[in-house]
Amino acid sequence: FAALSQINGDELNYLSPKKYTIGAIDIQGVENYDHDAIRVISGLTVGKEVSVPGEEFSRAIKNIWSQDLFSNVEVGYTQIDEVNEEIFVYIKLTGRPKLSKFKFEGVKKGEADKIREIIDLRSGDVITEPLVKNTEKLVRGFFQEKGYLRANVNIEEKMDTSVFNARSFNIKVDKGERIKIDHINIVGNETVDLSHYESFFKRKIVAFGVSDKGIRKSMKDTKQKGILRIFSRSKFNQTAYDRDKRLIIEKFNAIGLRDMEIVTDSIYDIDEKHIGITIKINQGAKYYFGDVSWVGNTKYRSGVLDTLLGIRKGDVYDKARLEQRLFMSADNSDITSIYMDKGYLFFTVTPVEINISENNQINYEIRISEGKEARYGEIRIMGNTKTNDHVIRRELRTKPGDLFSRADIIRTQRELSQLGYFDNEQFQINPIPNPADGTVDIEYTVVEKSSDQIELSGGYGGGYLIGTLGLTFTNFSTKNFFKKEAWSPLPSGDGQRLSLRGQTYGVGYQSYNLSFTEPWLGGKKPISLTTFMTHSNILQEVDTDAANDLKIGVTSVGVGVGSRLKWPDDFFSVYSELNYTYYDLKNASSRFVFASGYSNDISLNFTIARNSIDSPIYPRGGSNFKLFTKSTIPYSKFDGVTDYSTYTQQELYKYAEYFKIKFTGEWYLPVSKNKKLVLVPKFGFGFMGGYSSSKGNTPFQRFYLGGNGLSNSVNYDGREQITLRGYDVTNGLSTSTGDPLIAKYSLELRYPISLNPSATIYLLSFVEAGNTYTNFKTFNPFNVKRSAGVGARVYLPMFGMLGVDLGWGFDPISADRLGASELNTNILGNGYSFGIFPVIGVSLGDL
Amino acid sequence: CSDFNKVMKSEDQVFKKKRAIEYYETKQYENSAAVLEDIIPYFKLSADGEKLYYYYCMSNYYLDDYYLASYYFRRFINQYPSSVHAEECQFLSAICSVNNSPDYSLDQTETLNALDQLQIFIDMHPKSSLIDSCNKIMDKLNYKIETKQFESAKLYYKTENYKAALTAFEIHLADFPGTRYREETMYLLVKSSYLLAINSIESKKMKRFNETTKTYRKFVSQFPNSKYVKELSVLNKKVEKIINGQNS
Repeated sequence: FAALSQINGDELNYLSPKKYTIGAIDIQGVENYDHDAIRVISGLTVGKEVSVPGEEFSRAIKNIWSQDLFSNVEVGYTQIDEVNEEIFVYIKLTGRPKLSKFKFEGVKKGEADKIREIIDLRSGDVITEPLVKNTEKLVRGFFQEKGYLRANVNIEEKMDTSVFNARSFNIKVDKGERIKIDHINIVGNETVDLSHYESFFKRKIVAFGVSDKGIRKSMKDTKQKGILRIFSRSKFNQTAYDRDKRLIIEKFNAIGLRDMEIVTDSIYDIDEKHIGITIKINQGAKYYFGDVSWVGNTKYRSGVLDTLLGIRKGDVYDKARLEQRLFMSADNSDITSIYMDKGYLFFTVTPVEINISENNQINYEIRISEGKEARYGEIRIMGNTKTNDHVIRRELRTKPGDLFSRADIIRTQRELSQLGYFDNEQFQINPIPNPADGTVDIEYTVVEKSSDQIELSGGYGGGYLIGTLGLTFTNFSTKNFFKKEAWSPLPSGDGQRLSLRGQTYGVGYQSYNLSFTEPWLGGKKPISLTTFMTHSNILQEVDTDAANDLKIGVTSVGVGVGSRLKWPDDFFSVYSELNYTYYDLKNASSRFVFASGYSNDISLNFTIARNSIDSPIYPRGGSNFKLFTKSTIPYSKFDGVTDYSTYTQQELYKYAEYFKIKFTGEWYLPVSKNKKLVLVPKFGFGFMGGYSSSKGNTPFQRFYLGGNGLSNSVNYDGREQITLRGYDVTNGLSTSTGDPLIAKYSLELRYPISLNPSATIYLLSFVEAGNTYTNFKTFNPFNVKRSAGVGARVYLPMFGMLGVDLGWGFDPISADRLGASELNTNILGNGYSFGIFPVIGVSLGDL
Repeated sequence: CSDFNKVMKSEDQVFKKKRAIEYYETKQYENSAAVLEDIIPYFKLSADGEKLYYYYCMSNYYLDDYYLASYYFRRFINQYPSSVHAEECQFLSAICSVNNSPDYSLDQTETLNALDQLQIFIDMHPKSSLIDSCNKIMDKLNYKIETKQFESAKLYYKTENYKAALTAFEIHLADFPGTRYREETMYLLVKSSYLLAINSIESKKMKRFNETTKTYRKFVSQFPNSKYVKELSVLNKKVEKIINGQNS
């Protein structure tokens, strides 16, 4: 605007600006831009009344400048016509060059592609000083991140004559050497007195933690070079280094050295490829907890709070521990949680240091403000772009009008995550307190993820390659089935489960499976209704004569009703199912006692279960117990026949008659501090029997132990295949026609590599033992076949759980067992077998 | 297709511009959107800049990509506030959000967005011929939001959480005093109140029955001709009998 006051040499009086009408606006210097557009942007129009001097002109400069298209903007006037009170304005612009293209020098092609993504340069970008500097900085940062600490980046601008006022960039990079940290020196670290720790191991662990070695270990991203350093390279990154320094201080603070400080630290060059770091520390004096007094508590007595706090006078001072006990502990037994679970949402607690007595004991006064008890107001659900409100709302434990409880919210989070429709990591709960009326609104924000699964697998079993195609839609909606717009790709959002599965290896074996579950029948109570249908056909050519072929057909339909219970606690659920199965056999003596004929199996089963596991994919707490009973009508009790010895097999098995009981349990016990390493003990017992000793047991539904229970034809011929890794199916542990008793125990140790919901990966090692028994006389829960091994699991949302185990079986297999004649003599005699067991699905069998 | 690839690979911006306009005018919106995205930065502030940007917005709109279209409409209005298309774009930007607004049982962020956009349109173009349709659309959207809250409250009633239902119905009446569900809400309030009382422990029963008659009287005074009156009066008589029995 300076230009305005100079031209014509007129004196402009800032105190009494004059009004003029704009007569014309002349745009100068930029022929390639639309002049009208620039006039519009400037806000100055011909005929507009402006004051001189006045803010219209400065605003015009600002408006044009903000377009980032010009390197110089000048607004002034050429002439003032005092008679007509007209002013003739000019706008003089210098266009900024535009970027036409850019290329890299001194960079590999792969690196160039990655850098392109980071710097986001486009042809047509206006070249400004910040653009150049910023690009240089980003490229340099890219290489520094990779360890090229002294990378040099320089952008050369070149005229591009093909386009008007354009430049091309030549981004020159001199990476230099990749620089490693040769060593990290710790200076001034004295031996800490740890005599007050009672446990020897604790003393050793703490002593290591604050030793020079321990300090280096606690620096997460700044490591000195070493032979075994494969995963985290010893590169230097300033931000990571600053973060690591804070970690060191925290480590000392945790053992009462709260005056500890890093006095100086220096980074120095050793040679072209190496730098060294020296950190000088001062431990300072050691502190202890002193007296703790409580102020403002009415709900709980001070003694109770002392116990909850769990800090005794003389304990080593650790601020993190105090805060954890007051605000947030892993097991939710901290003071804040205790209050929060009883409705005291407005509860606050402030620890105040009163003084430091002799022996460096810090005395605390903990001030509590309990506030009013809060009740839930409106509960809102957001982010559900697929799943209907009611499907989510019916799972929420926070109900309007109830007392606020943090435990409710945590439980709700757990249960919503078990629906499997939402991304656990992005789940948000936002309480909005209204202190005026003592209510709190809760906002649940969910992020939908795809929970449908496709199972497409090829498995090798029984000498065949078996293909499986399965589709599971976990959030189906039958209500929207006939709405055209809902098919994108499938009608969804009502939380129903639809599963289709087919399996075959050709003519010899086919199996089809269809099931549908509505979790809230009628929408009133969490009573689920499941209907299913399965059909499988097995055909085996025994010799050239077709009459001798083995044929097994099994068709099954059923309907089941399940419900969650509120008593004894709300982790319990029950499920009951009515099932009809029809068996059609021909020459099946190699698999059942019953060779040819048909059998009707009408059964009713009942399951009571308690499931408190905290996450379906990688549980880190809770347990799961299940008692399953299944029974047919005891026909033999009504037909008046006591001796069935004259009956043919067909007459005997026309109506299957049996009962079955299974009891299983598993625990998830976190054993490491971060709850990542999890120990999983499991047990399972099964038993089945008949109602008449003369009639005997049914040939179907019996237990078979061994293998991985996967992709094998024997799964669908009316038997129950239970896995025992280390022993395979064909060399299984049960008699060829199955056994009525089973016992199995296993112990797994799991460690996650990735808990990312889009690919959960964990490693496991296991020891297992199990056996099946032909009757109660031979039943001995300690007579088991043992195995051990290691494995890995990958959970991909689209495909479900996939994995593989390597198992070693230790014990010899009895000579009368399944397929014994084909057995490797080693397993029979010495008891040693080895197998690889692919896994699909979350659980390994039902036991 | 190969022709399109040739256009995309061309370095001649003027040629690309010509083809982009041709694509747009022959309704090949997928092609026009792709080419325009490429050349818009180049023609920024040129004579054709405004037209190209407008075509780009409309291409996305015709491709039913309402999220993208809405975003670019708003940017267009910011950049060319005095354009002849400004009014149309402001309106279409709101319509994009309206089209994105899902069923009431799903997340309503887009519905609220649409309401905001329409209000901005009304404020900025009070004389527009589109005001009437704006008002109609806003009415529909508001109804959706009302329905969402009412149905949430009703779910508590349906799942027999009567205490939660009571609170939620009361919140609904407070949030939407003119709700179109007023009659049904108040009817369900009486019923929830009754069902809560009858399922309560003895010590709380009387207080809650008294509440029930209070809500009943409120209902009758507001909706004397309601179809629910008959059912509720029977229910109220029952309650009064219990209260009187207790008092005598």
